[in-house]
Amino acid sequence: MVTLEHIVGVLVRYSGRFRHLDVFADDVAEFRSRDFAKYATYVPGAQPIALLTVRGRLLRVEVHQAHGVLRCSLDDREPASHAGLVGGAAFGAALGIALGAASESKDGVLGGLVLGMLAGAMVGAAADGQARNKILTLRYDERGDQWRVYSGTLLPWAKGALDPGAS
Amino acid sequence: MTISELHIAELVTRYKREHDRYRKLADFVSDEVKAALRDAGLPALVTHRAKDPRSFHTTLQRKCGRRRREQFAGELSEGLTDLAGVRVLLYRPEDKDAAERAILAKLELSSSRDSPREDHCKESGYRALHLLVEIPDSRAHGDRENLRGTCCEIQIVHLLDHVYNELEHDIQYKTPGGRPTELQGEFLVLLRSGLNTAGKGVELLMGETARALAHANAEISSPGDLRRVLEARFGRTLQGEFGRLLELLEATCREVKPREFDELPLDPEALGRAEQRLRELCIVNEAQEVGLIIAALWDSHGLEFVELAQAWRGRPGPSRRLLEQLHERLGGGTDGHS
Repeated sequence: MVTLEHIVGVLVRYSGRFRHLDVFADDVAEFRSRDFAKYATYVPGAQPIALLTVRGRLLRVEVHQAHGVLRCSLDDREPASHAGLVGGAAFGAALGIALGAASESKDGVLGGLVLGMLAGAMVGAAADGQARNKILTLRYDERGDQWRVYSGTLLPWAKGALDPGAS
Repeated sequence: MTISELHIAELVTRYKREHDRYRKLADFVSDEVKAALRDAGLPALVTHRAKDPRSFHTTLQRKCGRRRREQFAGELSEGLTDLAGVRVLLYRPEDKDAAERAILAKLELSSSRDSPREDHCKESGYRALHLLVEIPDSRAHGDRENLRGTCCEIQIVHLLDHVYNELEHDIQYKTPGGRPTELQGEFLVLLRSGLNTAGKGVELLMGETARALAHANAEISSPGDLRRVLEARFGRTLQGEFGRLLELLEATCREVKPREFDELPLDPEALGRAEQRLRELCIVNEAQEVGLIIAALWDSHGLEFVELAQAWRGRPGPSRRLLEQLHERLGGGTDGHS
């Protein structure tokens, strides 16, 4: 199972190329076990956000509950700037819905395969459409303990299921 | 020494024993050809067969004066080249070179033949490209070990020429004297004219379908569709590994639709710049127009393409080799990321 460290690792690796990684909520160990509350601060909203310090980096996790997807990105601001923010309960409730939605969305099709999708490409201000459309799908290789590019048969499905903007 | 009726009977008995092996070869070559054409995005119909033993007998009887016993001492296919045969029927005659190139990227021309490649354009009107191929040594192992060095004939022919070839074949081999009568000759001329008109119709219709596909902005889901859409965009015939290009685009684009290409540097000028860049980098582009498209997309998608290509199994093809060379020369691309 993927941990927050794995997520930060891949975001660091692709920093300068992609802004965020979209993953299914139930694929992330700390969120599945809800073992994250003590590290987090929150930003309430339609898509509640948790901010967590992982490997010395501030990780921003936005819950898209209807899709069961977490949009993870590195936040450049210092953790202290978020002190005093509230919303843990709202985040927890949204996460609960997201965990159920993720399981429903996958409906067993992945068979243990953990997929993530890098999005928010940084390809220059002159190419907004290109940035919107550009992605890279990854799978987590548990044996090798690393993310690898994925272009297998589930790719078309994954592109739809991991897109929080999809209708 | 030419072959006798007794020897023909021996050869037929031997061929019956070996028939399954030729069928296996034809099956394998057919699969390889289909995969090659699919990846090249070339619309075609592919059929295959092992020669029927009765047909083997008839052919030997017809050709016994022109065949020597020694030709059948080793592989039977040394004496008759089409025991395992694959026929590629192309929708467009201009795809012939691309089809040959794609097929020979997977299979090898037979080294034991004097002329393994013959482009027929006979006085009789017969037109077809014949390739005598073998499975490369690197792939002739396991249950394909017994196919090593055995020859398979691939015929590449335009769909409409095939109609003519078959009818002309019947006249040549199934009528007394093998020459068309005056009336048959007139009908053959009429047929050729009609097929030329039909060929033009096919070309126009396929072009219009490609434009309609681009206009509808539907998701591109096959190498053939990608090729057609890009050909309509660039206004010319394109060649290369469109299957690989589609894999790269599908894995790096949320949507692979004609209008999304407007956001990418995919116009004739961009291809010209890509060609110039490859020249400056001293890279020989074996990947043809697909290689130019890959080079044109290098700045925005190059690193992701490299990662994807590194995960491809099998012998590296031209697209992967090009990506590796671009990566070697440009590293992280011009945007400074690595």
